[in-house]
Amino acid sequence: MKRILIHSFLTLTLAVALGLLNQWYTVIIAAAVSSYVVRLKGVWVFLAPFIVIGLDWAIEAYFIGAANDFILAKKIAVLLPLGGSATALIAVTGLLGGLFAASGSLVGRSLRALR
Amino acid sequence: MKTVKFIASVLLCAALFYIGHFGLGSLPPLGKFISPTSGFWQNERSETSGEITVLSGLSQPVRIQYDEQLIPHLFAENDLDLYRAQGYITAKHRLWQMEFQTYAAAGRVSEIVGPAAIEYDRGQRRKGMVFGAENALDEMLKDPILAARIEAYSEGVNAYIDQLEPKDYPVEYKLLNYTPEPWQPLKSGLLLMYMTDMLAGGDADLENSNFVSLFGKETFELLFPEFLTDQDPVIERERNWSDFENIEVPESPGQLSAMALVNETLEQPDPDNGSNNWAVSAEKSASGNPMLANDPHLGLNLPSIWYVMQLATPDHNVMGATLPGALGVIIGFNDHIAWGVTNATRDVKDWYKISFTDESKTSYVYGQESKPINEVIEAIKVKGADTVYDTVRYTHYGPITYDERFKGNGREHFAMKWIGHEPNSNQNTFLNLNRARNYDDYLTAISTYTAPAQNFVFASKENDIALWIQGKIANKWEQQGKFVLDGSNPEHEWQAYIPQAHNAHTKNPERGFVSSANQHPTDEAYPYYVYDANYEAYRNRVINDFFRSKDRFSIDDFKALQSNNYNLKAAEGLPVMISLLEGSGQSVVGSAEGYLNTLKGWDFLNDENSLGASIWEAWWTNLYDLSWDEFEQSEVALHWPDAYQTVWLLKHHPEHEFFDRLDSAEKEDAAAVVQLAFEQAVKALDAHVKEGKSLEWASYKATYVGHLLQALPAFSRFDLPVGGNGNIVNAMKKNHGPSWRMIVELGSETKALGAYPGGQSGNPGSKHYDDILDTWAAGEYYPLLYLKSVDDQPSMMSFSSTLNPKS
Repeated sequence: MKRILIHSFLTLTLAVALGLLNQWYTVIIAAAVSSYVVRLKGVWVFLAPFIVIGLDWAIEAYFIGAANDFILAKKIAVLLPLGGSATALIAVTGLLGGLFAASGSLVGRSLRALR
Repeated sequence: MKTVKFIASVLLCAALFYIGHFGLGSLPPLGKFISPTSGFWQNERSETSGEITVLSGLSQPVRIQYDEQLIPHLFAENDLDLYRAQGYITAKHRLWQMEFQTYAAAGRVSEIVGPAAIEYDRGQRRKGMVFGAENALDEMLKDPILAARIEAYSEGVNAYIDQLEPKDYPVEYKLLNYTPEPWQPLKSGLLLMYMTDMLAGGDADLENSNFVSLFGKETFELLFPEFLTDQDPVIERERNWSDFENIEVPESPGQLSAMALVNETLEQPDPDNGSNNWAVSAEKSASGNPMLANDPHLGLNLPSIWYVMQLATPDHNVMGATLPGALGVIIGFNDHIAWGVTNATRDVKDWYKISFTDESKTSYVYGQESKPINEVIEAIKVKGADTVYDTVRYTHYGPITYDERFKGNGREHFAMKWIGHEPNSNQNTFLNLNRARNYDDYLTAISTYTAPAQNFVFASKENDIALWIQGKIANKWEQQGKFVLDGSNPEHEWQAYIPQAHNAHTKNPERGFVSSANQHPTDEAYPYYVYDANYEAYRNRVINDFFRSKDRFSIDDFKALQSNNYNLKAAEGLPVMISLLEGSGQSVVGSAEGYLNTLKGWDFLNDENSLGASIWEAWWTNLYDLSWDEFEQSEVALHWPDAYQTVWLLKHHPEHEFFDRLDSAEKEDAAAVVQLAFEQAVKALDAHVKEGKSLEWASYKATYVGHLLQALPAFSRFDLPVGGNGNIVNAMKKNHGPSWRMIVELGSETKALGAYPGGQSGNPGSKHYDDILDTWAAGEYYPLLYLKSVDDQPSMMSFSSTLNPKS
């Protein structure tokens, strides 16, 4: 459990720091580095960054949207298409963020295994 | 095993990265697009506060007050600062649109959307859109004052673009995964070409020639008369032209002798691209102040084609509708005058059949000589595919648009001669109008204006009202350019232009008002040849009858007239149709009887909740299509007769052979077609009701304002509760109509009202994206707050910004 928490903390810190570069894929790098440095086992390699970055993206999206009555979120949720539901769009935002991070984590973990 | 795992994880990650960064098929790049720190979430914001920023190149600070509609009121210390700030502020709120429209003008849409736009882009290239914009720019740059202003505007736009990070790009860039490119003065030229094409890019020469070949000259004259009966021209019939001296009209050398039929021509601009404008004199105004109104009818798009601004320096102070990409105010007012425009609808695009001297097609016959062809290779970049090349041959007339490689008839060559290609300083006309203080200033401003020819309506606090039909218009021989011309015969050239002073105009007419609505400019007495294939036949009479109906008019009358839903086309057509239907002796039963009774009780108003308007529309459109099935089914390009002449034919020539339908063995007349159209309408209306949909007009018509990207539903507004229609003063069609409504009263205080179908922000994530739209749809207006100084009316302002020079 401790490892998972350390890993999560590291992922989040790196994601926020690299996030200053304003490149979406920094979450992949953050998770990869974390899993290279901190060794996780089994499904946690996937789940830990998935949850942390997923929540990060979803919460950030929620606060940005809430400050503007979700005007654009409701429109993008027509485009994607998610029936115009801002909630669904926030969920998809989190899901995708989590998935990207998790894929990076797998690379970091398997690279670590090659050491 | 470990290596396999590593490779597998890298492959998975790379695949996700690819989809996330580059997108897949029509999907946007999902990671980039959805990331809260760089994607569309960054566009989820409204403009609610100002800022103090540096705009390099300014000589003094520019202060900006934004009102509650996000209309910026710019106060600069000099002209160059003003236009630099205009470029910057316009880009801040409308960057994607202003750039996209110049891509569209230049035929570069494929670069953004891919192969689907290649044919569109080829068409734009073959029209010589960039050729025209370059000619205009060359001319504009000859004037050092104008050149400096255009340069300042361009730098202002670029200053805004330069400080953007990818996360700040308008959402459309993120959706289509591309980036803004630097603005150039040429793009202002392209934007004006875009308008010229929209308003003066139509013609029917090839179609007319086709028609005469197929059906003969006599039938042509019957279906397409140059003057319609009962019309109320722009310049009042009372105006005689005895003040024109030295009128010279060229003699006709005869028409082109032979031409093969042409199957396909470029898509024409919407023939309803037009407008209403009018002004009343102090004597005819309830308040004793001259008043002016204008509503240009264009495609209804988001972001809106217009962007409202107030632009002030110590020397001038103007407010009104601007075109993002062009300098100054296009339709507006200052503290002395107001002006507006409607399209003057003149045939300023002609086609010349070119005869090459030999198979190499490098020179063509011109009189006893030959002239060289200039080949231009157009490279059309295509997103996700190879660049497409197209060679366009240029003659001294203009580009050979139709040749063996593009539309036309695949063998002959037709060159376009278009006023849109002529060098011009039309941008200056608007900048000078912005500064005009009286009639003489107005006349000086418009006198150099070339295209698209406009009916410039004018009113001033000096109690003058006027209307000039201004453009550079060829002085043609009778019927010159109505049909295809012979490019090898120098006598077929445009010999001269109508002298500017002889352009049709009126100042302070006896009747106390001036107006225009894209109708015929004059009656037959005007000494020059006037022709166009698309004169509007209804709005002019409703407007002018309104102004003859009483002695004085108020702002409320102006509002009522802009929202006037009287359907004169139906009022003239329906009695003829009902009489033909009932004369046929067929019994009308069931739902058909109900529809017919509703129509008989209809007041001819296309109001939102009218049932009659929907039934009329269903019947009329079926009748129009059935009447002209020869046009529908023709394999060659033809121009359709207009509604006015269709009704005229129903009434006066019900036996005409055009009413006989091609795909039936029987011989039909007007009555039979009217009856069949009614049956088809009843079926369509019944089906509509059966689907549970309302027959009320607004619902039946379903007006929408569509996003510039093919009405992307997420960014568009549908099913607007609006009445009106084409050929009605309130010209709201399904996706076309009054794109800006303005009313100005020139009293001691300048009072103005405005509304348009959209909002000041181009960002679909802003509350100002479409916050003016509902007011517009309700036929209401916002006051256009004309500030005397930057600190005027503070309680009406929302927030302020300052642009500072670089220290």
